[in-house]
Amino acid sequence: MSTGRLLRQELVALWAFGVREYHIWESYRVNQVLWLTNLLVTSFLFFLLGQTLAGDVGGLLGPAYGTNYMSFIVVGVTVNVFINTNLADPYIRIQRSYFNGTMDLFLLSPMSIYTPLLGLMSKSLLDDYPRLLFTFGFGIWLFGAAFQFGAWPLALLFTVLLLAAGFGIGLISASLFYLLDIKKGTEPVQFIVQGIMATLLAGTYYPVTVLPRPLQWLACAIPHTYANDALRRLLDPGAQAAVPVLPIQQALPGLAPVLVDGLALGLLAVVLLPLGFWLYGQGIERARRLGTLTRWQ
Amino acid sequence: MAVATIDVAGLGKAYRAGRGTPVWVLQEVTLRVAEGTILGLLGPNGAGKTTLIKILAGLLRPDSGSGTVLGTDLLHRPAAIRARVSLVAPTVDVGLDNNLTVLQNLAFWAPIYGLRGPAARARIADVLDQLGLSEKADSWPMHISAGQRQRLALARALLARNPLVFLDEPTNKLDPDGVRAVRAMIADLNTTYGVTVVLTTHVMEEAEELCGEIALLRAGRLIAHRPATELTRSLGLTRPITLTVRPAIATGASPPAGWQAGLAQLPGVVTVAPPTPAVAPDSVTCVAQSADLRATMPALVGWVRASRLALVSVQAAPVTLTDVFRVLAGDPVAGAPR
Amino acid sequence: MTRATEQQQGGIGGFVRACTATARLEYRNLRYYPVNLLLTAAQELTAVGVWYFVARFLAARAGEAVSDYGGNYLAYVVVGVLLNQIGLTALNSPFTTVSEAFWDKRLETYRLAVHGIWANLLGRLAWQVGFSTVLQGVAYAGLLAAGGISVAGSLPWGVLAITFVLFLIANAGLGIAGASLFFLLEVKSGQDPITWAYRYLVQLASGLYIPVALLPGWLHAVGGLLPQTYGLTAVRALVLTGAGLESPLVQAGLTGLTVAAGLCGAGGGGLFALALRRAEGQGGMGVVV
Repeated sequence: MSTGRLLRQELVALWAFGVREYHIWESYRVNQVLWLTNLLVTSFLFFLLGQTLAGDVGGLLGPAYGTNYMSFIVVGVTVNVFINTNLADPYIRIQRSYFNGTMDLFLLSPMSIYTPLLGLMSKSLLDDYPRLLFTFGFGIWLFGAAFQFGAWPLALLFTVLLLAAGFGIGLISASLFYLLDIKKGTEPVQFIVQGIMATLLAGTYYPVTVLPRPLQWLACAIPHTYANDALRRLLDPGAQAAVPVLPIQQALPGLAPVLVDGLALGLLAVVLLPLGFWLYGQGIERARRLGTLTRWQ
Repeated sequence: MAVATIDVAGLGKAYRAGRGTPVWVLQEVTLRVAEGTILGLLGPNGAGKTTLIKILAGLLRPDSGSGTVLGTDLLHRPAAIRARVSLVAPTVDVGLDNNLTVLQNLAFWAPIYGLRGPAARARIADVLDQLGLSEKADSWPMHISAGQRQRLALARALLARNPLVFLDEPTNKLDPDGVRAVRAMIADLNTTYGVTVVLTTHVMEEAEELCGEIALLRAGRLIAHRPATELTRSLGLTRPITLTVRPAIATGASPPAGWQAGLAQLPGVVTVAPPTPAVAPDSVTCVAQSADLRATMPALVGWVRASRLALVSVQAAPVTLTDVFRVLAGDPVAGAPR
Repeated sequence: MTRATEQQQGGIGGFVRACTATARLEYRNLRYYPVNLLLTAAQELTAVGVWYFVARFLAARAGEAVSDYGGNYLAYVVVGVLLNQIGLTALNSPFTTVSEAFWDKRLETYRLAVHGIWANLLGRLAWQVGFSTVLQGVAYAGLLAAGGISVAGSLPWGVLAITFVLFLIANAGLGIAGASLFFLLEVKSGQDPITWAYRYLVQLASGLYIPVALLPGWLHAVGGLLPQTYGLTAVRALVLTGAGLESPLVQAGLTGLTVAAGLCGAGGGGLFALALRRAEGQGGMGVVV
């Protein structure tokens, strides 16, 4: 079969997954309402924090991130939500495929072994991008967040790099399902990266400078931190792009902080994405060797 | 020589628990299956049937042996094999997406198997109809019976019309109507489209009805591979047919001479025991040993009619897997269903 | 069931034994999967850690807002979050227990024993709350050692213990009421509406992160209906200022908690009993195969 025909077949399969994800999304509309409520409450909470506690909370952000606390929060929440699907979902989807026997069927088809994962990620098109709009929408219209979109192409580039790095981590996480036989419970990579590091260290709700210095350096190991830093500098009004905040930016004074963010994110994407693909392939092969692709024995 | 869909030699698979000695679940399996054959793969639980199917489907890498499936190297090009085979697992919910309706489940797989647009819709409608699921098209898998879910799994596997289909106990959870529908579909697949089918079953009758060849696995080894029609005959297995009749004339005494000889001449009959008085009044019982129930039974009914006898009852126990393995292995197979 | 079995299983003694057996099973599960212990601890401590750092970020501006509680915003938030984590455990446990038992097809089996479902529910609740309490205690000790937060010199342990128990009863009662919706409203997975809504209301209106006095009037009114508001008020006053029963904050908190514990405990228990009777009548205990 020619390469073109193979590619067309993969695209058809991806489209089939997209349709499938849409049907699933349709039957879980309540989840969308729940998510919206969660977003609204979180945004409102930080709005209240910013408004009710004495003094100007925005003034605590430092020169790098402007003075609008809600803008700061909206970017942090957006980054967290955006990367969550690509990072956390691959493992969950592989786990589900294992327990309902679909993995055998995915392999018993003309699709490549990667297409099912890529296809499952089409969920993010249905979920994450609209959520992005809601996050910004709530922030701007209800809670006083303000943004400048002059540098939107750069912001888009950072978003793409963030997704690539996140998907790479997600693939690594999914590969451990077969490589280390982590079949149930919590998978450590996504738990540590998304559950602990991103939550505590990435600067979602507070600047990284609040953390002790060793934790600030640790924060530099995850893509979320760079995305938060760069997007705030690019989108938050009053943000000063040239003021270094992260330890790695301070260690490289000759480079603009946004450039450091871009290089770091790019490096993470370039390393993690291929590594994730390779490890996932290795995991499938190992499972094929050991006969552990599905529960069906 | 007919083209071989499956041509493998010395296949073996071992599993190792921790640092223990590897346990060989399949050893030295050599198998050649011609194109267009329905092969019945029989064996007790734990014989290695599923392991063998997974290896042949390219889902499991063997630890020894080599060969080709659909002309493709099993060891080095398993992905190419996988793309051209279909498989139905015995567990009824394997592969079904409970978030999609019956129709949506099939509509998801159709384009993946290369079916699109009107051709996909027609094929989906066709398989739903053949398997009696048309009325359940808009139902959720968890709202249909286990048997219907099994048929849905079969429908999914057969969408693609791949040249090789593996069916692991396909009639496992089906009611009699479902069993008939599935067997008819398998037969049609084979005769109309020339699809090679490998099916596993515990039921000898099903194997004899559907399969052209039967391969027997026991403890990971292939102990027999023969045409289905020859298997029971070649093993010398006979089954008793207990016939109770009431002569048209009231005798109150022994049945007319010639009955034993007449029965012994029927196709498939090996021996006939002397008739004896039955419990039912004015009735007589004969026990004939048959090596081929399919041939004997119709002839028997014809003989009863021609002899102007009234048929009270006829009972025949079919050959079971246990009987086959008892002869082949010299001892009964524990756990095999009767 | 024989008379001997009924005598053995029935009564308060039998009930306590059944609850203990469930709690012991949870302990064994944890021992069998020690990684789960680490993961659970990490999850809970991460939630506390986030708010620790948020409070650190805001502390410079927020001290005055919490002057009634000693003026240390960091300590204010930490004590509140730790207590709320325990409350959330009591809140979420009942529904999760019933849901897991249902989908694991154990619910009908539990119903066959005299105290089956109740013992399973309360035994698991006791274990999870106990485990969470220990975890939060360890977290508090760690944060005390890290510095930045304080505790009153001498604590009125008796009043604190009573407050804590009432707090747990109120939250558990709400949680059990939520679990009843598993049968009454056929909420078979995810979270029940009661605990779902309560969690959000607590975040916004109970004074968990922002003193109630600073909230808009309508949120203030909502907060007055939440057991968490009274629990947080009382515990913070006790732990951060060392105040006793003479403190208006402690009195207000204890009074509200007592009423809440009575209403939620009795209401939740009654609702769940009704739900069980209805499920039995409609065959809703088992998963259709």
